[in-house]
Amino acid sequence: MCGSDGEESRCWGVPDANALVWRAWHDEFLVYNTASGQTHHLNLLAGEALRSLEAEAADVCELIRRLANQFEIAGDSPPLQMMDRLIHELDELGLIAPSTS
Amino acid sequence: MKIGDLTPDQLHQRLSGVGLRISIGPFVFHLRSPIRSFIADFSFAYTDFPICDESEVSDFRVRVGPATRWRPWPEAQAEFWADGASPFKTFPRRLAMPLTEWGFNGCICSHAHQFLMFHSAVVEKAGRAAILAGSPGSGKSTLCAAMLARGWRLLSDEFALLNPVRGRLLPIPRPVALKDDSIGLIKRLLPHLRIGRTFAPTRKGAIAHLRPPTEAVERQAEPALPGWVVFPRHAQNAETKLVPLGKAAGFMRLQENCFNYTTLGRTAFDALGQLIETAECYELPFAQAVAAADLVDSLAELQPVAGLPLDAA
Repeated sequence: MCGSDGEESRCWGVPDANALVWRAWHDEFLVYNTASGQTHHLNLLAGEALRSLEAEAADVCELIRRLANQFEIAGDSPPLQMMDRLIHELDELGLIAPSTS
Repeated sequence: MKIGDLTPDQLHQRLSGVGLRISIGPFVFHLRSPIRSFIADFSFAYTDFPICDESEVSDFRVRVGPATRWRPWPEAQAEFWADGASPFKTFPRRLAMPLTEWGFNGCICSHAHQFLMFHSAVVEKAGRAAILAGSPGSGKSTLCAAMLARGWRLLSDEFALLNPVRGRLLPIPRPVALKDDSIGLIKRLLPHLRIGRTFAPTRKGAIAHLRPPTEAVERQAEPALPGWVVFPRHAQNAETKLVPLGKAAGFMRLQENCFNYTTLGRTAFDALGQLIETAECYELPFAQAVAAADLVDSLAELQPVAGLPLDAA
């Protein structure tokens, strides 16, 4: 997944305008996007991925590395193999956008 | 003075003239109507509600009157007006009471954005409220009435009104709208309470209004803390049981029942989050309202009494 040019090297982050508001319960997250007025219900992986991108923009490989460290799992473990799809979903939901920083 | 203190002639004189300002929960409705059958139905259901002074500013100005445009209708027609607008087509005059109740609902959910509003019944015991949230047909009104038989106080049959700043639920103990089979069931369960005449057919089937218990109206300024959020779902063959629901899932379900979540935006997210933080959430499939009420009642047995000052709204 990592190591090639193209989509994987694109950096993703949370646009400043989004100003996310969080509530966390056990392994679930609710996030309110002040820009869209929408509330999203995220599972543990999606929530932590978004929190990580909110803290600092990253490309897919960097995000996988961060999450692998956080959850103490291998970078190629099944949940992290879905990271491209997750990034796509978060993008479609308007929660993240390509970052230039 | 209460509605029930006026004679039918006095009521007709006031309602067909300058109207009456009636305190209903946190709102003042200024009601006018010359229709005698409607006045009889309304005064039966609202008999314990206080009449306000004429100088009181009203939140909603409502008129229920004969249709102003005469046509060769098969039966006499009426119109509902609220603040100069008529949200419904004309309707048969004999259905003026249920239409007015729906009109009151429309007034509240269109304008009362000082509250976060859910489509739900609310009942209270020992200071804590159970929010019975569900769409029409879920059985929430039947369950609500069955909870009254268990000694719970009626806060509302239709709206949960949450003060988003203080996190309290405000009562609006209007009549409970019973439908079809539940009319007979609740008559048997609550023989000491009064049920008005049955309106049928309406777009929601046969409807009769359970007069709110006097105590519920007398305590309509007394808020309650959220204790439980229950999503009832009536089905003939359902196994009646409380199924715990995660907080995030409970939040999303209750949000779906919210009339003005989008309107209030961040305020709604914070207020609903705080409510869910303090309340337990359950799904409640049920076949028998009495058994379902027993289960919800058992939740209160495990909780300490919650005291609130009277001005806590």
